[in-house]
Amino acid sequence: EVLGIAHEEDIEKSIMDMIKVLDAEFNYREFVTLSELIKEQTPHGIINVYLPLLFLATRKYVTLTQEVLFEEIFIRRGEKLGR
Amino acid sequence: MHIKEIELSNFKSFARKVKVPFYDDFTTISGPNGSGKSNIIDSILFCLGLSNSRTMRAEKLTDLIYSVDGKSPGTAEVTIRFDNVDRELPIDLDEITVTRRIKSSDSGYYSYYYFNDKPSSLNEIHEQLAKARISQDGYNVVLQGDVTRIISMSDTERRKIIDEIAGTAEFDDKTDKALSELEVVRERIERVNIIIAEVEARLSQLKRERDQALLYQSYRDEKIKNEGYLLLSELKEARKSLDSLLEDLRDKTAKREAIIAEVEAKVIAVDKLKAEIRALSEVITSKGEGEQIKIRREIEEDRAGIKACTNIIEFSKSETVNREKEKQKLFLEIEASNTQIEALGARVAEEEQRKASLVGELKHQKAALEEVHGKIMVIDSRFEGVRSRLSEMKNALEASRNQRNEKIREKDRILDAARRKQDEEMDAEAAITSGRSEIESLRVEGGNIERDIKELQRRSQALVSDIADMESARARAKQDQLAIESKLRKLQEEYARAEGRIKAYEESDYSQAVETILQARNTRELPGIYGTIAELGKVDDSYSTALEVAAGNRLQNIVVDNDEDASRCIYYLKDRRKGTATFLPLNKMRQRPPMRDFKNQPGVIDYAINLVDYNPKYDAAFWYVFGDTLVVDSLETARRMIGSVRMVTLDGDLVEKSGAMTGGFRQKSKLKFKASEEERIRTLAEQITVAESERDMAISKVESVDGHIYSLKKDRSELESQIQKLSSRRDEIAARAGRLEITIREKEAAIASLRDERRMLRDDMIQIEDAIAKADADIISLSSETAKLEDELKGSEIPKLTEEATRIEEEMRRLEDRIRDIESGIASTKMEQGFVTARIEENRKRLQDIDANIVALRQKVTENEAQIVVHQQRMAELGKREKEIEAELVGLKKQRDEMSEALTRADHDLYDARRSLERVTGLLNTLEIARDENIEKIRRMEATVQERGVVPSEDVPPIDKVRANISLLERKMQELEPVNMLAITEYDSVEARLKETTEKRDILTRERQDILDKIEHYKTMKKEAFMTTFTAIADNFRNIFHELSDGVGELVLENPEDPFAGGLTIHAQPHGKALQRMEAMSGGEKSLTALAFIFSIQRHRPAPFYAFDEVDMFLDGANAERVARMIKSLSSNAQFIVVSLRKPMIESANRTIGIAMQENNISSITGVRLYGN
Repeated sequence: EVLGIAHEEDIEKSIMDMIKVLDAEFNYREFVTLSELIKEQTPHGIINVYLPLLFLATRKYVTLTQEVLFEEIFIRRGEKLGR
Repeated sequence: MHIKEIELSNFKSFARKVKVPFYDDFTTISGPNGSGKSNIIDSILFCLGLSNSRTMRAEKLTDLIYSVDGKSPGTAEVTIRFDNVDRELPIDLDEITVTRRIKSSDSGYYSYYYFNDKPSSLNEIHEQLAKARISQDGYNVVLQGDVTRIISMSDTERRKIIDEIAGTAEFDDKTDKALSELEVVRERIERVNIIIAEVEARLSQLKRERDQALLYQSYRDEKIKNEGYLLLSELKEARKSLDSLLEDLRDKTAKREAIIAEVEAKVIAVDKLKAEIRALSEVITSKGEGEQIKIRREIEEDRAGIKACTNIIEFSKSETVNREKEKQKLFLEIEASNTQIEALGARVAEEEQRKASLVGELKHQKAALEEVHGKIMVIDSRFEGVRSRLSEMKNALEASRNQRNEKIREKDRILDAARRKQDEEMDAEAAITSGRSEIESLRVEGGNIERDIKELQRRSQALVSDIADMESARARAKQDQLAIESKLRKLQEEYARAEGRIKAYEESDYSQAVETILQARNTRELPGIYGTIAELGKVDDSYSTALEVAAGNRLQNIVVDNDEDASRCIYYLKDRRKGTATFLPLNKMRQRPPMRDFKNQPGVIDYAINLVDYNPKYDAAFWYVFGDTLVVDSLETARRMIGSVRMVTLDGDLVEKSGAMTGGFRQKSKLKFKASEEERIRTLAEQITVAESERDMAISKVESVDGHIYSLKKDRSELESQIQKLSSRRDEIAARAGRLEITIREKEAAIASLRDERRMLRDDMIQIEDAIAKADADIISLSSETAKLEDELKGSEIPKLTEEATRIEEEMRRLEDRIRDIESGIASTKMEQGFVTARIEENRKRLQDIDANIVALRQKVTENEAQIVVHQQRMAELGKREKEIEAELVGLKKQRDEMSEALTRADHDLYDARRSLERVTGLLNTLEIARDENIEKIRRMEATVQERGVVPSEDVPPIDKVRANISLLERKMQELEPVNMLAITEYDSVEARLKETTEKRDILTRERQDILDKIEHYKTMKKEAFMTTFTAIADNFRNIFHELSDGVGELVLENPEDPFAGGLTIHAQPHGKALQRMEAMSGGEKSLTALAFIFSIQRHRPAPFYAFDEVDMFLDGANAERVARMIKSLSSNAQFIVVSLRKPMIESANRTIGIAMQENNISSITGVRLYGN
């Protein structure tokens, strides 16, 4: 349980970080691609970006669209984030 | 094989149609809680129908259909596409698809499965998947719940997981089957045992009967031999009596002959006398009766002759007058007839004249006709030939045409008949062929049925004897049961009586003091009290009266441990004013001295004290009570020994040493040895218990025999009804075959006759064809000839001439008629003339006759007057002769009377002689009958002697001795009776049956052993199968646990010898901790251990793909990483689809599919690659 909480906090922190990053980006453009957000091309680096995005999408901060699975993902403003 | 793609449509949160691709490596599915990531795993369970054992996260199947605000499309569908390039599933397709669709409707939901797009059942899907090692219990789809379950399940349940994997159920099934076979064999053995017991019992009884019968037989043979001796002597007697009979017979025969001679002589004398009388009688008759009567008759005749003559004379005179009158009348008639003849002659002359003129006319006409005929003749002679030929021709032509038509019709008829016959023949042949083949098959079936019937009958017969044995076993068992029950009843009655006696004892009747003390003992108020003498001693029932008398009132003496206890009791009584009692303190009582031995005195039973059974501890107390009192059998014995010792008889009479004797009728004493009754009651109770259990056994035996009888009878009636059915089938077949045979014969005969008929028809046909051809030719030639002739006949004068001739001929005919009329008139007139002439002639002749008659009459008168005179003369002569004869007869009659008297005397003599002859003859007959009877008797006796095998020459013992022997043997035989002679043969057949039944039991016992061996074998195999699987999984577990936790863990069977008797526990010692049972571990450790267990199973039974749903939820970071590593390494051999939110897991995968819920309740899918590309 202790571990579980730590884990949750961990996720929430990275979500917050991600919101900051995206806010900055959406200030000057309509969408961001996933590959632009990834700084480190390792599984760890990818997951650190991808997981928070899934949470944000569910919370309707962003919308994720992907034309072909496993290819580029486009990130746009969600209804909660406003314009 | 691996999952290539999952296509979801309205399944749970996947509202739109979504295709999710998968690869043959490690894929994680991640996303926030509630995004629907686990629904992917659920879709696999759903589509492949693996959800039976694990609950899917939905209450009902209809909840699986996507719905928002209660609105639902009503159908959901999941398709999984497998890559089958490696042909792991043995179907020659690169891709295998499984689809499941559910539909909800008002009346519920419907579920459909498709395998490769074909509708299919869940079972078929499972069968196919099992070929690719995907099964429900395979742990290749693991939900979070499964991990928890492995931890929380009981040890036994955990062991059953191994059972299932090892497939031990197969052996259990086999064992169950063998056990039910065993039960059948057991029952049969039981049945056979009952029969054997029965047959053995019968055999032993029969053996007795047979021995008896054999003994009886030997007596009987001996008796028969002796009877033979008896017969021999009787035979001798009979022969002797025959000899004397023959002698007598000879004597009587001689005597008879003498009498016969005498009779003959007398007969001659009588006959002579009779002849003389007869001669005399004849003379008298001829003289008297003969001649006298003749004379009288002649006189009478003469008188009658005179009267007749007178009559004739008178008649003749009157006749003469009549004749004269007739003559007058005839003369007048002749005169009238002459006048009539003259008138008739004038008429004839007139007619003759008319006739002559008509004849002249006729002549004239005849001449005219001849002239015409002459003319015609001249012309006719030219054409006559042609005309007659023509009419012949025409006739012939007509005949030929008729002939031809007739033949053609006939031909049609024949053709038709021939066709019909041919059809009939073909039908008949077909019927014969099919009939033959049916007969053959019926014959085969009949043979089979016959064999079956024989076999069934044999079995039924065997059952009949089984049933008979069972029934007699039942009768015996029933008898046993009744015997036991009556014994039990007796015991129970006795028990009730004994109990009554105990009760009586308990109500009686110690003194108030003794009661008080005993009560105090029972309430533990007073210590050291053992009880009354009556309580402490046990006696045999038969001695109880004697011993009770011997002890007398001392029976209620109270035995206590010591004098202190005694004094305490005494004070107790004093305090309560409850009277007095006698106490026997064991520490102070005088010990028993040595005693004289009276045992071998007649009538002495023993010292009373020796007949009481008590704890030796109380010896001094009992010595005080009984002393040296002897128990003797009777008062007589006591009297003999009076004065030497105190004695008591069995009846309870007491003889004191002093000589004082007490006795008489004794009421039942109220003071009794309680212990003896109690002992008795115990024994009775034990006996009752034993008897009851015996009874129960007997009843259950009867019941079990009844059960056997019932099932045997049922079997038999089944067999019988089968036989019945088969028999009727057989009869039916036989009848059917018979009918077919008859039909075939009939058909064959029909064919033969049809062939003959056809041959005949063919011959007819040929003839008719010939006839038609001939008729055709005739018609042609005749037609042409007729035509020619008809041309020829044309134009002539003949018709006119012919007409003229006809007219003349008519006129001539008229004339001839008139001439004929006149002629007939003349003829009739002449005839009338003839008649009248003839009448005149007749009258004249009559006149002559009358004259002659008158002359004759006158002569007759004269003759008769002369005759009357002759008669009167003869009458006078005859009267004279009559008187002479009367005188002669008187003398002769007197002589005849004398001779008759002599004859009567001779007859008497003859009668006497005959009587004595009859007597002798009768005697002879009697003797002859006696002789014949004797001979017959001897013959019979000789036959019997021969039959019995007695040699006539044998030395016959004296007849008295023989008779004595026979009666002795008869007595012995009677003693043996009734004898069952049949027992001899029956014994053999029962012995054979015993042998047969014993063999049957041996076979059954062997069968039973075989089944037991088989069961044992299954048990071993089951254990082996289990142990093989267990060992493999346990090895895997040791390695995997070490790998995952760096610690030591193992699977432990609670009972390694018999694994199925115990459960399976997991001992785990994570790194750096003490060895502990799973229940004692932390949540994370538990998960890890359970995962290790699951991995161990998977390694033992690899599946093509694995799907895990958040199995790492409770693991700490380090352990999560270890598990992830392990999955990664395993994924080189199998496909892994793992739902997880844990970074170590997600990061280890080749790619991640991310699930997010961007719109309301709809899951969306995105994905990123992590390794490779």
